[in-house]
Amino acid sequence: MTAAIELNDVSKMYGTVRAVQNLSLRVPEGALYGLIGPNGAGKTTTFGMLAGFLRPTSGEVRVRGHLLSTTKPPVGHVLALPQDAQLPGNKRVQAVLVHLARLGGASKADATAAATSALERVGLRDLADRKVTQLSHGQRRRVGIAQTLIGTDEVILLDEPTAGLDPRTALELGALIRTLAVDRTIVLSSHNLAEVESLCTHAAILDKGHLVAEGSMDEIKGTGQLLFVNLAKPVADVDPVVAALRAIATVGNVTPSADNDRFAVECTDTERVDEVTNAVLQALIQHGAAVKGVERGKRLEERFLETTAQSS
Amino acid sequence: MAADDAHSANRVLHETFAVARAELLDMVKSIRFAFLVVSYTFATGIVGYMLLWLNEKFEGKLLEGAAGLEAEQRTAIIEAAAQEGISRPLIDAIMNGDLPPMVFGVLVGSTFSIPLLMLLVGYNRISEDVSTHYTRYLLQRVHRGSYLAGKLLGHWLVSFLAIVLVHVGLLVYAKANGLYDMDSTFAAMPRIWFALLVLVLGYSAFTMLMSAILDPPIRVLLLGVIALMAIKVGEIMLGIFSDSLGKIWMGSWDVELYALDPIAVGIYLAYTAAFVALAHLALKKRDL
Repeated sequence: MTAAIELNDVSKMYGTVRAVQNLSLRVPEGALYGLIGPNGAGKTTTFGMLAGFLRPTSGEVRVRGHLLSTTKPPVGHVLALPQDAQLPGNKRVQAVLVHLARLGGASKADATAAATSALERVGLRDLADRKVTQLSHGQRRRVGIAQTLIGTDEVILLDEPTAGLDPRTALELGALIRTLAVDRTIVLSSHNLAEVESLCTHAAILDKGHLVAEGSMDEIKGTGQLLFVNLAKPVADVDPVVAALRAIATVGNVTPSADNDRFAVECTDTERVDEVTNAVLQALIQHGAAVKGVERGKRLEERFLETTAQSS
Repeated sequence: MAADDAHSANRVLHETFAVARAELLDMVKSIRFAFLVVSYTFATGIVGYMLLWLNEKFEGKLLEGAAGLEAEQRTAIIEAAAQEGISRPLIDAIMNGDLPPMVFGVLVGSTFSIPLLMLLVGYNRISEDVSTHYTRYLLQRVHRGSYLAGKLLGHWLVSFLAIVLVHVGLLVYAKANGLYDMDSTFAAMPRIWFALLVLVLGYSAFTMLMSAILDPPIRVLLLGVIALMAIKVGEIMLGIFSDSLGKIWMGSWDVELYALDPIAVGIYLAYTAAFVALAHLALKKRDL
């Protein structure tokens, strides 16, 4: 798969503080890519370098093969929702979007149509004539997202798109992001791990300016390698159950929880994870266990805590 | 937009005009434009009235000009002026009546206000975008160079428009009230406006440089005012030691500029180019 975005050995210093250190990333074309990490991990700095707002101290950033520089920014390739940028407060929402569209080369009629359509998609059509200062934080965020819908750029960067939004609006925006991802590459920086896990096809975990994990969501979570079986009640005698599970072909380690109501089963052949899942369930049922549910791989939150704990 | 032509000259030009158009509309509708017009009208009107009053006191001799002079008197004045270091194009413009004394006096007297007024109108044009990070929305769509050029173009044209509006208003007022011989004044205006285009361009570039290298806006305003004052004081101090050093700043060439002295025009354009280059470099190097 070709890369929509490539960072090669990128570092960024703020004075003597190294915000991002020798970061190399590859965002595949068409991916919905999550950029996650604790506070101070370097997400926003990385985001700023991808969008061309910040200059890397060293290394190179390529968007769809084009090497970025301040004279050759990602104009025409990337549209971004920055985290802390303000829209002009005394302007009307529609006027702001029309202006941005016209800067991008649209005629007045096309810009007006694009602005109206973008506002419609983020559910703000009725507020088009309001001044930006009259909008709530969430509404301003949606205007910010609306401006990323104006243009035909192939890469969209969203920095904390749902921060400060109510759950309903956040869900609606999640759905919108999924529809956008059909024909574009989207990089999403977020603290909301559940959101990243449900939306993204790929992710990178950053910590203290370093990359600590990267890959498809399945690779990061270990979806093909780990099964978690939750039981309705603990098994009385755990040893025979563990032995039965270990006896299944391509099953490696089996780890019961302390309460014996959850089993972590390692699958050594990712190609056979479906068969292994069925065999594990059969074995548990034969031993009288009441299965409540099965999860494949770890939750992103667990992986996040593991990887960031390791790096510290 | 095809990604391949994202950096083409046409594209960059389009971006520049789009930014300039927005600046023009934004500034013309702003209270600061009205402030610029009112302040410059006040500065120009006061100087004009003072000259008319003095002219009356001197029984019309002050603004009579060189028309009534004998050939010998003209030659003597030209030689004396040349010895004082006044440029030949300026002497010629005054002696030939291209720069009527009233117009010349008003311009010389009111030009001091232009750099300050332009700074007041434009100090925040870039610095506010940078300090609110609005640039992060803008610079996804336009190159940094086009952004700067558009801002400069907008500020230049708006400032020039304000000055022309004031001039037209005062000319209409003077004509309606029979205050002065208007024929020679009308004839001189194209040359004056051309000179002002160059002068305003220089100070627009200075304002954009200050706005590009500093933020927040209030710092631009304060340091801009201090810089203009320091330059003026420095110019006077240097002038004490040497005439040439006293003419090192573009502002020392205002009078010659009204006479369209090519050296004055060249100095203004050179300063403009230097300010724009520095502002561009600053914007290129900055994290926005």
